Amino acid sequence: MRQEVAVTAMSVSTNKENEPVLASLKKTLRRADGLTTQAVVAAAQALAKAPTREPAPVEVGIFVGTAFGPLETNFRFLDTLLDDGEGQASPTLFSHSVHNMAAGYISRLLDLRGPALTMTTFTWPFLSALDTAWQFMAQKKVRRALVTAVEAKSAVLEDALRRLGASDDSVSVEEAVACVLDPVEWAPPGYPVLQDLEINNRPCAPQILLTRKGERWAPQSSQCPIGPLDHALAIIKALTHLRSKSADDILAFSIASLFGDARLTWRTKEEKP
Amino acid sequence: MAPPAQSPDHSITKKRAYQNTKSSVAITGMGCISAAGTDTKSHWININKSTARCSPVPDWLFFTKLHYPVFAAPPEALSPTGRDLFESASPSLLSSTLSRTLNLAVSAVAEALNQAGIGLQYLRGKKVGIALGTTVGCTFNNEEFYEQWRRGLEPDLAPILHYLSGNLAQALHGILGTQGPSAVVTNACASGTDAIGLAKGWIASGACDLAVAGGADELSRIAYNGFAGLQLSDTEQCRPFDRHRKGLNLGEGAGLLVLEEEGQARERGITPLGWVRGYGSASDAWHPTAPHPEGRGLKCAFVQALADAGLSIQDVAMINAHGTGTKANDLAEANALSNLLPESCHVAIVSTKGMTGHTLGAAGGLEAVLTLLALRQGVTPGTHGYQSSDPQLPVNPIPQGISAPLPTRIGMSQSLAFGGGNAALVIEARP
Repeated sequence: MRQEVAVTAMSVSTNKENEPVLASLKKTLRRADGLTTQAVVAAAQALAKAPTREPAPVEVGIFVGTAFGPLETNFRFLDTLLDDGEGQASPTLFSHSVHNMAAGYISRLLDLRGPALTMTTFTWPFLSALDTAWQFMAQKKVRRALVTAVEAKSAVLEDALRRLGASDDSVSVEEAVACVLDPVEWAPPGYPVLQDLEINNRPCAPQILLTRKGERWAPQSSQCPIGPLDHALAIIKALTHLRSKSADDILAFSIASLFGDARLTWRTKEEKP
Repeated sequence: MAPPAQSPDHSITKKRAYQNTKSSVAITGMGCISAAGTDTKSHWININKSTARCSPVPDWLFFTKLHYPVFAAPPEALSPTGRDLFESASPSLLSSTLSRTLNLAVSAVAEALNQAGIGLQYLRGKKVGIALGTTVGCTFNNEEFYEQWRRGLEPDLAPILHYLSGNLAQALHGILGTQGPSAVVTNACASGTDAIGLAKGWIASGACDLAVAGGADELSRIAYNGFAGLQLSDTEQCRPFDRHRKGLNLGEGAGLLVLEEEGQARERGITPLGWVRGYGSASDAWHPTAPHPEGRGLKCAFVQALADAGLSIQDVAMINAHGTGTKANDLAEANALSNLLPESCHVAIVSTKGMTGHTLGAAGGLEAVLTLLALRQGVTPGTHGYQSSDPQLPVNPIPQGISAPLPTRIGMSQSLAFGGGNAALVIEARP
């Protein structure tokens, strides 16, 4: 069992809600796509809410989870290649179509110089990033971890979903969520403390990874939120909700699906006696 | 043995250097495939002979009007060893349904598992971690589908389903019939190095019984045009660290290690080939595509890796540099190494990209394998393409055609990436 870590700050970024932060970063984000912008905003907000500790820049790690990454930026680059021809394709779009560009921007704009890992998986990217961050903290490679999940709105995937007969558009959001992991002793009482995380993947028909058919989330609902980012949002909301509950509660967030299962367990940090 | 490394400006590494006991994450198998060969043996032979297979983009790969040469792996990305493993592990699947990246990965993993003495039955009884780095391998690059879609047509969804089934780690689990941790690290050109570092952590923490870790990537027209657009590609064969260097050549391939807790390997009667002793990873926080000119993040990752290993730079015999052949990368890397290496320290610096090309997400895995190969032989071949020293670079690698004997069996492999990522491994070969 890994040493427990606390979730000391959380943030959800949408295009509407973060104008103050966006304004302060506007100039440096002018070439960034929506995916990177939302990831930076969510990360900046979460970090601003975290307890006032001052780990060195190299002691803070960035862990980004994404299923599809900058898919739409890749398509915009492809547009320039198809329309303008070889040798004329946009270098800026290409560099921003790399999966770790959001992590790179977060690192640069927030001056965080620890490890920055981007984890790509269609199943539960937020949990993959969270798991990796926790490992790096347990092995004392970082003292603080900034965990972000982000997805881009993709017309190509929405169309594919429609044609696969899905009733909802699981990748229609362009948002990011972020949380800060700290040593438990840094967290004020009442904050969530992660105890265990287990992720088990298994093979399935590929369309299930897009339609998320048969996925179930417990105990909050019999029908889990659709889409990899929705899971991150749901987990963040569950963690936020916990802060008003009693310290003795051990809560678990469980997901069952055709492509595997996952379980996250946490408790509330107790008040000082 | 010299005292452990200390970071002059980062307290975290100072503390850890003394807290960390030497980990026993053993390497029991390695495998690779690239333009330089279809297995480790052919890589070693070709690299020593300096027979580089750099050519115009083959027609069977993709059509292009541009004239940047590449290092293409064989047309049949699934090696005979890979095919044997694939057919016995997944008899109902067709290799033609897998991406080229996945076929390259299967080829490397088959060789690595054979060398580790691990059969399918044993593998399926264990908790197996798979950590792979990639770039192209996680991207939807089907131009034909996209071109039709944007014209308002409804192209067959098969390419979308192919993309969804192509997550390297989960697909490899599916092929092998294994269960355990799964991670695809997409840290651009440092992906493979970070994946090995992540898997080292899995083994050290007991998250899995053994791990397959490294990187795999295929050549694609999209990435090829991207690097051309960034003016980072050379129209001739690349010349890492050379004064006349003009850029990189893209390549493709896979390089993978089998990692185990050493005691478990010995219980099976397997003597390790070596160990992953240390891992460090750090960010430049500088620029989206250009490295920090002094290699700020690289220096930090390097020092962290040494501290993680409990070793000093004086213990290191060779450094397999990222050495892409671009002006900016090689300058940043040379500046960082100059700052890190004391004048009295004679470490053999090489780049293997003159033989493999820049294989992007595969590079870290492939170069870890090539580092271990050299350390096991006690000698490293020089840097293919490096013939004339650049007065602007404060360090000089081993030139093409020269082999350097290695006084110790400890080496480092390092990677730099778009986004400002840097990662380093400390690898030790068994004497």
